[in-house]
Amino acid sequence: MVHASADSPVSFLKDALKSIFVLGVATSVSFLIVKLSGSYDHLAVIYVLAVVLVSRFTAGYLWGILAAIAGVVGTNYYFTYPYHAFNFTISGYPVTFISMLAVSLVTSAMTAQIKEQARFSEQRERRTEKLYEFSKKLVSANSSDQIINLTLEYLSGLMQQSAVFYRADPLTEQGTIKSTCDRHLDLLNSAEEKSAAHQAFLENIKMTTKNCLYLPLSSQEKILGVAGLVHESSETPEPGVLTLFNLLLSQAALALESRQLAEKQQRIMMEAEKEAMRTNLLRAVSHDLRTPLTGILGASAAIAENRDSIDPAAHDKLIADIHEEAEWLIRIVENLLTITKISQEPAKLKKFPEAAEEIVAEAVGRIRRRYPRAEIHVSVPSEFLMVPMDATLIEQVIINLLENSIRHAGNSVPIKLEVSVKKNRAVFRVSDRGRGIPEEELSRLFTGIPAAKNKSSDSSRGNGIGLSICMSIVKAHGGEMRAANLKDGGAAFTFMLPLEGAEPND
Amino acid sequence: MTNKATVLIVEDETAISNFISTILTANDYRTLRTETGASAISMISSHCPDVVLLDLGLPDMDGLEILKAVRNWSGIPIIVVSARGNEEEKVEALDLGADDYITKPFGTSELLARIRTAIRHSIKMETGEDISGGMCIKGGLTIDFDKHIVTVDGTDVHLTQIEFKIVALLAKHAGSVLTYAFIINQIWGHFAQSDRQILRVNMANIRRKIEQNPAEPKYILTEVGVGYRMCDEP
Repeated sequence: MVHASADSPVSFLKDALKSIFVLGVATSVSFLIVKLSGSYDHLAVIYVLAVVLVSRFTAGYLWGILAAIAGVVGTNYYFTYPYHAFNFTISGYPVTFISMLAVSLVTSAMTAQIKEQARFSEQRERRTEKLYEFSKKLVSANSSDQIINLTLEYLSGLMQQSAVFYRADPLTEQGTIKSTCDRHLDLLNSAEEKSAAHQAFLENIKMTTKNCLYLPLSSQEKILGVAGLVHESSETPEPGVLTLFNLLLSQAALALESRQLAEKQQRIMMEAEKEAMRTNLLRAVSHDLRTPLTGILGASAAIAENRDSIDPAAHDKLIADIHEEAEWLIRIVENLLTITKISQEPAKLKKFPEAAEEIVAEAVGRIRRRYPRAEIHVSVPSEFLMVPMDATLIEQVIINLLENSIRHAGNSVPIKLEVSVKKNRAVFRVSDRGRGIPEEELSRLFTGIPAAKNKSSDSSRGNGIGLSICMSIVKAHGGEMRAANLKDGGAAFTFMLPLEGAEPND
Repeated sequence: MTNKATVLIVEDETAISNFISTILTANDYRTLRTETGASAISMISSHCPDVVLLDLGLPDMDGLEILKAVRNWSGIPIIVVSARGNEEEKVEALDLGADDYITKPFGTSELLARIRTAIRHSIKMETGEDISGGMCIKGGLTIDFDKHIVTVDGTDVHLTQIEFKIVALLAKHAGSVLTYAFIINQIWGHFAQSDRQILRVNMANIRRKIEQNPAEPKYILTEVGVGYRMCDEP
């Protein structure tokens, strides 16, 4: 576990030089003392100091021991009688030798320990810092994929090893691998490793293979995935690694779980919103259907039952009513069809660049056929304008808005339909000079909720589903829609569609 | 009155075929009715109607299959009846050889206009050439095919080569819808990419030259999602 830290040749050489230097200084000082005082009593102390210094500033035990031996031998050679010759028979000599050796060993051991501890605490500090950084990044991660990528990045970064993550059963699912070495890719994808990961995933236990360590990622008995870490330098992973691995994974599991919960909640909310929209629509539709159906039923019954007594003018009137009501029904159904188109998957709306003028022309053409007496002024920009859209849907929006204006402003009032470009958006504006929109209705205009309860809602056809459908269609296009009363009378409906993707015509 | 045109109505909804039949009879057509595709094919070969009104949703077979089968041996005008929103179906039917389509729900006048156009076209085909020779007049719009001159209300309009080709093509088929693919093929050739953008740009330029208000065209109408149609009022 304790490595004689990084024995590179450079540091070996450095340690040797240090030892020689310290011993040399000690010897020179000894010579000086002997020369000045003529006393040999303190030489041992100086060599002990040298041994302590060597042991302290070099790595491992080697240099300390060598220094101790050199010290004993040097004292013997230079400073004990006979000078400049060896005599190991001096009394007390073994004591000096042994105590110097002991000093050297103890100091070296202590130094090594201190160094090791310093290294450890430094590493721990670095890891803690990394862990802190990791948890900070996890908080800002906004998708499961991001969390997994972060986990892998930190796992492999901290351990300096390849790591793998499986979100589902490793036997069926391809894992995400971050590797430090190409060899590990094959290793991690081998059948042996996969089955170990599989077992860890299924049984929610730690699995160790010859090369890898697998830990499941679990929260409240639900397994969110399994992570694997390569360890090739030692047979079994160090306990520190395991702890860190565990810590990382538990943080990742927490983050993953909360993300999944958030995603689920969002889904539920979207569902609820959809459901609310559907309910509103159903209410509006049933209201809108009942009125014309009652009319048709009544009129046809009146004709059938009073065949002989009815006068021709009344007869024609009834037939005309049936015709008009049926037309109204058809419009409702057309609107409903567009609803099915957008409510399936708004994101999958098929948008193609369309010429705004063509869509406008077709919509106006249809309206003119329905209301031949309506006065509609249409203007489009003189430059050719392409707008990405689903043509039938936007046409429906324009038809609904025009029809809404005609119904509420009256046949005799001129209606303006203008198309313009403003800030990278196509702006469609339908305005009339009618009586405007009652303030209290402005807010729920686009909701599809029938008009105020105190008015008999069956007596007139409200805006019904038309406007709420317009809103949904425009929203599905990433656009915006507004309604407002004009200062000098009348109402204006404006909707804007983003122009992105359309190619301007030079 | 001596030689009434015959219309075969292929429609499985009795209520609809009832009212179509009533309208057509009242407007001096002879009508034949059938509810299945198989009998439609045999009736086309045995009765040789002048026009076929073909509903695409039949109980026994796909309307498009009938279209394919009939087109193998007959050029009889076929008007397809289809619901709104099925633009792809319409395009497919037109590309398979249908002469025109009419969208449910349709009005009486629209139906009669389509049938008139279809019959006129088939007569034109049989007699060979255009009645008015190298000229085509639609309201204020005059197209001289030989001299490549287009005038609107008497004033000359300068169209580019491509623009003139498009206008001429639509004029020759006035009254019926030409799909985007068909026009692109005819103008730019078989190998042209089916890029509608360039056709739209050309059309926008044409409209700015011949129409008073490009947003309310009188001469060339857009059939959204399908193609273009030149209006057929003489």
